[in-house]
Amino acid sequence: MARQVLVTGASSGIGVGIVEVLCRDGFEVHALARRADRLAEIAARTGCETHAVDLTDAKAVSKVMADLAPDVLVNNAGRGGGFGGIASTHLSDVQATVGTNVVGTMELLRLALPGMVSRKSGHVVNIGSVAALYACPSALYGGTKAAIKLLSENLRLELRGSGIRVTDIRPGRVTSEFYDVALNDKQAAARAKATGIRELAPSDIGEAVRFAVTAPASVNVSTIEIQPVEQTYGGFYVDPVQQ
Amino acid sequence: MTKQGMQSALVTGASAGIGMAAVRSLRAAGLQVWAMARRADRLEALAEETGCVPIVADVRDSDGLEAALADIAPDVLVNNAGLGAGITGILKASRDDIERTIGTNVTALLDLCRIVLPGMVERRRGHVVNVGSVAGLYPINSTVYGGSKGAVHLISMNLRLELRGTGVRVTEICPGRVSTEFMDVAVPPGADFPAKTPIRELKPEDIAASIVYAGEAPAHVNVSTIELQPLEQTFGSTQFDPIDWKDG
Repeated sequence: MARQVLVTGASSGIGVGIVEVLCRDGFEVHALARRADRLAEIAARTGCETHAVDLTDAKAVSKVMADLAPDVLVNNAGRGGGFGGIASTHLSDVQATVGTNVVGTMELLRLALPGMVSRKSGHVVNIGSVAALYACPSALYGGTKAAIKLLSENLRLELRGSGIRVTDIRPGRVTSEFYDVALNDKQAAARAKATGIRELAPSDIGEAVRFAVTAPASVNVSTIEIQPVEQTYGGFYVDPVQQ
Repeated sequence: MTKQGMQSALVTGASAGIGMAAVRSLRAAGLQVWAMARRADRLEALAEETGCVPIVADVRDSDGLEAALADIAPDVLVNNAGLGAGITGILKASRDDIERTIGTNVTALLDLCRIVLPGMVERRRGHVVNVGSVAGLYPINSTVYGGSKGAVHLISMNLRLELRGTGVRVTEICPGRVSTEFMDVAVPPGADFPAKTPIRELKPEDIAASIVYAGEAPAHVNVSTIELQPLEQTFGSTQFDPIDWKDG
């Protein structure tokens, strides 16, 4: 069974849920995130190893990866943005969101895959989103998560015959700091978070990762879409344009 | 699953492959299971082995379904019955192939939802598990079968919307190649279609494990889609096929 796991975005939300579940099940978990203090607290609780680096700092990431040979890479680091509409989103927010969600993921793949390919085993778990499947009102965020969906599908083709598994987990609403970061207005964040439903817990995503990672070696659990029972997507609008 | 309040399940296509494995797993999870299929002898053997209750019925016979399901109220409906008549391509398919595949994979699935869902909605408890296919997600060179499973994909998505607020969960499982009788039945001898592969295919138990994972998720969680495939199977790629342009 796979032993060494690297989890990005491990200092909060889904990342912590994944670290907790996998540590509980005896994996050697390496938690990567920017906030050293939070990582230290999580390490004290779970026994994970920690790497306090910024995913957008390619040099620092490369230095961390030089000493690791993860059997499982969990690309979890991500952030929201553009929920006010792309036209009113700063370029810096676009760059930060695409930089973390897409470029950061690709950079880690670039660094981690050669080792997996030479060992003829490995597992990439990308944390995508239902926003890759259904329109939610952020062209920016939905766009980055759709990139993760197709990136995962193409990766499976690129890696065919290599023995490496690729899983895309697509959660709906998870209780986390996501909207506190995505919306820099406290009241807007509070409104976005007040769903009134039983949201997914980070541990629910941790269990989904565990299910995919512990599947028999010949099985690739390639996608898990998971959402609160009380959350659905779709419907249609009819909005007459005022002439 | 009993922790989620699920006491019973109805599994269609239960006399072979994925359905049979699902019956075994759901019984092992402590549920009462009605196993539906056409072949009575196979169901009898499965009943003896697992303690499931056989229902001998053809899912395409709507009156038969209504009669068979009149007195039962399953918490979990596993829409597994499916077949691949015409899987080798619409140019080779007969009208009967199309009717059998759409009739079983789409019409019967909708009919079962129509019959079973009102009780679930009334009890505010239930879980529909549709066994779809990767063929519902990617073009695999099979118009009839892919079309039928593409329908299952959008049926599952729309079902979630129609059932919003009811507490009824909807899960779609999309497997790649599974070692079952499916291809033996679907692919005529000598057809240009890979009925056998040299890879480690999924086992029916792998699909059953996915059903149990979705069923045992906490009550507030809907594991809405699981796509799984053999590690050695992938989908996609681009083809360029020059044709003989008559205009030079």
